[in-house]
Amino acid sequence: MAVQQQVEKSPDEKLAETLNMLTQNIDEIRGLLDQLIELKRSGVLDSLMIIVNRFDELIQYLFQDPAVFRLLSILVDGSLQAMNKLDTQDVLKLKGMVQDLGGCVGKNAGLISEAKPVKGLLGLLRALGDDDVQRGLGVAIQLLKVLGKCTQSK
Amino acid sequence: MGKRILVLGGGVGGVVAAKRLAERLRGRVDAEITLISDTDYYLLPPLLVNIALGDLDPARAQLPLSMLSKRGVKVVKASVTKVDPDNRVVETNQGKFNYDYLIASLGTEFDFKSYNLGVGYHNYTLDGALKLREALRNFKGGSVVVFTPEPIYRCGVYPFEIISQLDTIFRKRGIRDKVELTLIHPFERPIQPLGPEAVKITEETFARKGIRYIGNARPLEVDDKNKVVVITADKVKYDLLIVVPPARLPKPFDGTPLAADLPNGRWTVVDVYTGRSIKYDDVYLPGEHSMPSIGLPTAGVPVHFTALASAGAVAGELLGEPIDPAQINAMACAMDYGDFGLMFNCDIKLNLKDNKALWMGNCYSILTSPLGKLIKDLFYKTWLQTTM
Repeated sequence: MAVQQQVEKSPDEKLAETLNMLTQNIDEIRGLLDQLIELKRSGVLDSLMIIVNRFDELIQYLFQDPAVFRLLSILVDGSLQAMNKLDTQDVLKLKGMVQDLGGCVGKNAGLISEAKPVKGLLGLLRALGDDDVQRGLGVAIQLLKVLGKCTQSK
Repeated sequence: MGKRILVLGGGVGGVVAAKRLAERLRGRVDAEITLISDTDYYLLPPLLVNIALGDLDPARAQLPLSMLSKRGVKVVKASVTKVDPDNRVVETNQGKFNYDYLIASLGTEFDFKSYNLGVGYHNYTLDGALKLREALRNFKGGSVVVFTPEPIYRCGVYPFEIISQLDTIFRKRGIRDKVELTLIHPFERPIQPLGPEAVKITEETFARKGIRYIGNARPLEVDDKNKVVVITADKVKYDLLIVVPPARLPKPFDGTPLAADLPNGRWTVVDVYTGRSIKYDDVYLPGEHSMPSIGLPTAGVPVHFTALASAGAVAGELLGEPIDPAQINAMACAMDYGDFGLMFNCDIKLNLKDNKALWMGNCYSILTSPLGKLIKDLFYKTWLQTTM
């Protein structure tokens, strides 16, 4: 095995090396300084410094309340594992469903707060006369079918 | 005369406590904060594995303790030899120090004598990490054994990480087919305390990577003459041995009333909420040496938060302000399995009646993905850079 001999540089050599490096990269260093000055003037640098200086506090808050970790576990990790089981067509279908259903439900969210109780069998029969309710019931039954299938396969 | 606060240890617990005390007290109370460390740098131990695997230059895993002087903390380089809580004195190789408050975080002793572990490589010190780095660079093939003889050691997830990372490294070097990887460990199933999800991920990873796991191992010794690890049921041959030394009580606490014999060993005993000694009101012990007594793992994250709790208690007392112990209810752990990383969180329930932190089995993955490697890297490097 070759033994590497490390030779310690003198302070003068280090200084000369540093000056040489600065001279060779002077244009980049000027550009970097301009960018730094701009970041400082715009306040972005100060905002970043606040994050850096308060990083330990941020971690402390996270560790005192596990809610964020729980949310990440379910939404991020749970969803990531689920996403890995899909193929491209599944992704496209799921994305389309989220866009269509999410957009429509969002647009009609006001209707939910106007919901009235359905009383008795007669009330249920009357509700079933509505086209939207009929379609919704169809979706619910289909969803139940999927849920049953997925539970069984697990 | 101002209050003398003595902080022992230049690792995670000592540095975190000194910084927090300085932040809270400076300019508000007449107090002198002195930190005693046997090194003049602060080194973040989780980064030692990066050094050993050749990913990180040692200079980037440490910061000079002199950085604390800008916060008004006096740093003394000395080795602590004895803590005498009855006389409020700490003895060092540079003389004696008196205190009004003591915060001691001296890590653990690494026991390389038992089981003849001294013949193996390790990355529990900077020197050890550099030697392991060299050994791995020169390794061309054969049997690699990671030997963990006892369940209490620094950083519980480390053996599971290093064996997985070695698989990835040897694959990248194109010699994986010439290497056998074996992990010998006292847990029946890998990474068991973290619960079923972690066990499942780790067992699947080991199966995919072709890593042999010998669990529930009852170790006898390392026979370096015949290059075998002897356990009661087997003899495991090695060409490269990486050892995980059991953690022991640091010598300065030996024979002091601060320590007690517990079912899991001899450790310093503290209040789970504040890290305060259960026998001395002016002594706080937020170090790995106290973690087994309160049910927490010997690792940086619980030490960090116990140190914050201790510093909060001392500052609160001196300022006459309500004490905000800042002890944790969650404990996240970042792991690198070579080709992907994991972030696990364990919910912690502090049981003040039994003075224990309950967490085993209450863990779940926050992220299991190649992205997890990047997050681990960012987490530790930011942790280091923001500590002082």
